[in-house]
Amino acid sequence: MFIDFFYFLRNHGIKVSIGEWMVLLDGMKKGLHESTLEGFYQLCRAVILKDESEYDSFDLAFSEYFEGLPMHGPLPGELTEVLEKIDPAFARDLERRDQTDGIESIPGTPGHGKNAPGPGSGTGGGRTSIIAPGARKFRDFRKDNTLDTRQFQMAFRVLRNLSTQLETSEQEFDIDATIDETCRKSGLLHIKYRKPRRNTIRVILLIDSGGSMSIFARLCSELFQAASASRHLKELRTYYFHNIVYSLLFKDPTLEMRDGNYISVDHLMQECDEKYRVIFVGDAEMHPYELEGTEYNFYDHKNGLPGSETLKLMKRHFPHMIWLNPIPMPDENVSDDDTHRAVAKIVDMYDLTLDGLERGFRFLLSGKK
Amino acid sequence: MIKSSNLETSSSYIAAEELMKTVNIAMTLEKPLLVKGEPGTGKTMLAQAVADALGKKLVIWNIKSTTKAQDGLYTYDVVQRLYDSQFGSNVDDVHQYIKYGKIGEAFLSEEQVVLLIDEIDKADLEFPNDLLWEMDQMEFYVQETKETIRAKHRPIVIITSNAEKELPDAFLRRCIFHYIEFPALAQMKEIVRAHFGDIDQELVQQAVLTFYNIRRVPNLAKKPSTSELIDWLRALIAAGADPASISSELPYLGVLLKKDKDFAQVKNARH
Repeated sequence: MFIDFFYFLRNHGIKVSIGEWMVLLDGMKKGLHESTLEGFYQLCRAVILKDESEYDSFDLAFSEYFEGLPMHGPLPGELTEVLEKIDPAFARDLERRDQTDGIESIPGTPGHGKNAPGPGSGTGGGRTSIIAPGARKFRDFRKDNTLDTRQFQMAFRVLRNLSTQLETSEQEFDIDATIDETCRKSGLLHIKYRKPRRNTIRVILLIDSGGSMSIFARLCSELFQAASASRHLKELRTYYFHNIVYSLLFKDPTLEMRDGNYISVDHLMQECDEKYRVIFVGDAEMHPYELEGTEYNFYDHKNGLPGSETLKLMKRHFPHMIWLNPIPMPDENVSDDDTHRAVAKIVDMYDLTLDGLERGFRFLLSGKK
Repeated sequence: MIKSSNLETSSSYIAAEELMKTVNIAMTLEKPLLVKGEPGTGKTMLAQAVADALGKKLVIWNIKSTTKAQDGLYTYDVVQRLYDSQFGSNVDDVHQYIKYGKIGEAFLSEEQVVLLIDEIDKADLEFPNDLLWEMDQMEFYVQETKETIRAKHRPIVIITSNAEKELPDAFLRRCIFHYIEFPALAQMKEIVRAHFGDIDQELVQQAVLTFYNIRRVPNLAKKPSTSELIDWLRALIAAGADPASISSELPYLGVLLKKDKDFAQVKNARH
């Protein structure tokens, strides 16, 4: 029964590891559960959970498993019996089961499972789809395929190389200069310091997900990998949107409207000051109404700001903001309602090529073209 | 094992029963206790209260954005040694140039101590990972003297976090976790009583209610916390404020709110 509870918790999306489970057993051996269900509950919670956001789902799972038992009553017999059996053999058994079962792939844990459609899915039959119907194209972003990300990584280095000159009062020991100076003074020790070469750049990466961007999924994936592999950035935040930014940004490319998966643009601007570098990645191809009108802004029940206004608002808050576009800029003679050009009027737009990246990043860093 | 009454009489610290149980669990299992919660919920004071209740010394390691894991163990003052060698001092004994950090201090202590690692999320993302071995094994190696420093008495480790950064999983797996909820009204009044003793109950009632109302104003850049409420009450008492006018006039609002924007927000919300 005890091992059942372990898998029960995991099936309810609570990430219990073997190590934590062993600690829990150890705690029970030492009597920390105080032989009541409530004590057991508190022991479990303290040992297993590591974030307050999990408290709720743990409470639900716990009450489901021990349904009908009084909180102050004694532990069910099956649960206490297991304590006598805890020995190294049991632990080995647990670990073996863990490996053979491949816990990581248990279906039904949040994040792997259902693909709940976001709001607005099913609309727009045939026209530009407004809010991506849970597109999964970008889900493998974090998997490390090492193809061609190097070029992106090199581009991201631009954000570092130029940022080492930033003003700081900090000093660190400069070995080379010290040796040099000491030799000049014929062996009399002379210590030299220099400004540390540390990066202070913080980046917000905003990626267009789904719809016409699907064909560029690979390209975006490589860009994302390069960004997350660039460990020198002080901070990297990544959010997703569809076609144009309204009042919300999403933390994963599925754009699901579930709790904790989105952040409002207002909130983002409150949290991040003007020093953050903002990079949009998208094709800026959409219906003109999506950019200038409000009727596609479902997040605010069509009453919010149009996309172009949100963009202007963000540009005012984040002066260092660029848009990388995988589609080259169209000619002048394309019709007036081309959104590609309209967006480029608000945000400095660069092609998603090696050259465009480099020029874009230089602008991002210095504000100079 | 400490009892909640122990903790509370030892200082002006009011702890929820759940928190006390978690402290005991962490101590019995010899795991670091990770405490999270809004600023001002008494995370740092918890360590002081635990140390007082157990009659042990508290070693505080304040983490800043530039703190490195190595700083907590030891630093080797190579520059001082070079200087000394220039002026003919005897520099053969490397030990005199090894300076132990807070973890080193806790390990070397002759008695068991309470080690508080305060605001661990301020440091670099990799910082907690760099401490895994030391926290697990309670020992570290000093390269310069080829010595291993092992804890004489396993310190009781309390770690606080404001959740500014996500902590790495490998680190979390080794901790006992507790989230301190913001105190509810009744508990808040107890905290006020612990600080002020018996004062005008009407004043406390009005001030605390107004305080919770201000916290409910949406989009505040910085919500006032318990410590700010205590300061505010102190100001109100010093000025002899009229309890009836507190909620309408909001005297000394600057003690509670620290940003211009928040002033405007609160004023707007009242109209």
